[in-house]
Amino acid sequence: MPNVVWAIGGGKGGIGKSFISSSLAICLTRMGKPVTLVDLDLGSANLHTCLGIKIPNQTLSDFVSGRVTDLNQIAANTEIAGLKFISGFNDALNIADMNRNAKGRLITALRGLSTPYVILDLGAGTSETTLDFFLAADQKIVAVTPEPTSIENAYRFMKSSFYRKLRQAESELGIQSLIEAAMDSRNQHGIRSPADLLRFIAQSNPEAGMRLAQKISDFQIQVLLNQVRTRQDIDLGHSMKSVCKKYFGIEANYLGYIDHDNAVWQSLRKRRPLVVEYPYSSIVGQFMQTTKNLLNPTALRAVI
Amino acid sequence: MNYYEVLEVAPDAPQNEIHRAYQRAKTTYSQDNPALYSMFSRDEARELLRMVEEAYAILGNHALRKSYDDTLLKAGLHSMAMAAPFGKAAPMSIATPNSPEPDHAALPDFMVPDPSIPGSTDHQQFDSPPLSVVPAMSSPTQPAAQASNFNSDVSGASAMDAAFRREEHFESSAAEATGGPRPQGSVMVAGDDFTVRRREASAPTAVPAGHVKLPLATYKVDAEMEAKIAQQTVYDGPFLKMVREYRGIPMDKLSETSRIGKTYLLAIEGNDMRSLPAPVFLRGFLVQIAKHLGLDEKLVVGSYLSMVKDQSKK
Repeated sequence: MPNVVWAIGGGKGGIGKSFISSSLAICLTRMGKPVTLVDLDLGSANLHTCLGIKIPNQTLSDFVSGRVTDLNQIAANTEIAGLKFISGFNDALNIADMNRNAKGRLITALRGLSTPYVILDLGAGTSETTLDFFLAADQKIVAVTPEPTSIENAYRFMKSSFYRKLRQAESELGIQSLIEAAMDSRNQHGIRSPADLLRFIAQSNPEAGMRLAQKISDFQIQVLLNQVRTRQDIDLGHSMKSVCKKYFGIEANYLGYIDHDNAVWQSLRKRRPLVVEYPYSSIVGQFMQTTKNLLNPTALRAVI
Repeated sequence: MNYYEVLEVAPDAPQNEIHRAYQRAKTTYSQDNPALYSMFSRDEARELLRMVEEAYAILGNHALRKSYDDTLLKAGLHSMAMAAPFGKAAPMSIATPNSPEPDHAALPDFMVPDPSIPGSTDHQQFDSPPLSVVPAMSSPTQPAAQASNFNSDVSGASAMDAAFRREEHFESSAAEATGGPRPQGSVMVAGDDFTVRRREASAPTAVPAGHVKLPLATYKVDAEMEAKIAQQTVYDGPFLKMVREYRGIPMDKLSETSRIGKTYLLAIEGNDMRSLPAPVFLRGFLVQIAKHLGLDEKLVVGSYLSMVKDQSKK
């Protein structure tokens, strides 16, 4: 049975993607579900520091370069029962250097990992490789903090992945150039958002538009708010959901929020995972709830 | 985008949800909300906020919402979905309630019937005059001004129209109550807004000859039974049960549509005085039952309640 892949992205650096990935992974193991945590922040991998472990001997670069053929061999056991860890590149290789071939091989191999759950910690930015890993995941989680910079980058990230998804769907359906044609003349057609674009395509070519809509219907983003301090910050998730709906014409889910908590940096300085160090803190409770929401999408509802 | 899509609520959302959605939308599209940053400009946000206010002005009011629902239903759009995206060009095209099926998401206007073409909607199926509010199906280029027109229409003309139709019905039912002639083969049916309307049995197209279509069932007209129903003056439980069975409406279906519990339906049909609901509820239930069975609600309620009164005296 293929495993379930969660990807955590968000565009901006320093918003807690690695922290969220590691916390969700440990929460899953606490629920008795083995996980492999993959550091795809290639080039500046530091997920091992969040977990408080040493860099494993073998990293993803061994797999990409072909020195190791089975990704399961690279997955190192950790102190936490049920948690395996695959480290990102630690040599000169950069995510941009990964060619298409290696990327495809890696995505297939991630699906073949032995644990039922795989969590991908994506890097900052909107490079094509990052977007492809994000789109390949079953749960596409966008982390965002209530700062304008983070919000802007999160939207940027969503837009980029949305257009990449559109392009993928197009080439699969063999209806290239529809988007290009529409975007070339977007001003005279009043196309200002992805929703407008889809609508325009559907009008000019109803059949293609319908198939395209079907193809991208699984594009659902989970918004996870991190470092929440006030009541207004919590409402931000609802607002972002609504903006996504009106802007993209797609449903986004407000997955939940994580409080701003001093325990986070304290545990980080001790180089001990928060979930292990402060298992009874309210923030760990929020992570547990988030994990449950992700595990059981039918029971998913926004936290108030 | 219809008003439900503007507020992002389901078409059957209860009033409190609409209110909450409104407050949420108001927060979202008010100035300086960081969530809008880099997605919508100030002008776009203002336009969205105006749409939100407009939607709540209708959906927040019971009566206006009801007539708005009717116009949506009349336009025959209720079963179709369309992800109408935001755009200045098409602020107010009345589309469809949201449907959860992803297949239908993002379908554009081309599936929506044009109400200006006769026959594309089911208006003429009813011989009662259509609502004076014609659904404001605007093409993407239509200005938003029509939408505000539409508001005032709903509040004024449509409410009056609804009241007028109700009066008309009461007159006709009063005529029947005084022994007026009942045209052969005609039947009272509950319309989609539960305003009882008169419809000739020959009018519907898909009903086989000699049959009459009720909202819940289609049944074969039996002249003997019809005569019996027409002559009936005492509408007690067993009689209601008889009519229900004759008109082919299963109790489960009646309970589901009328939202009356089966226990109460059984109690009413069984003349079980001790299990009946409180009189104030009983009256409402009887009205519902009468409407669904195609009976005259006034007669049924009057007759049944007086029977209950007599029984409780004994």
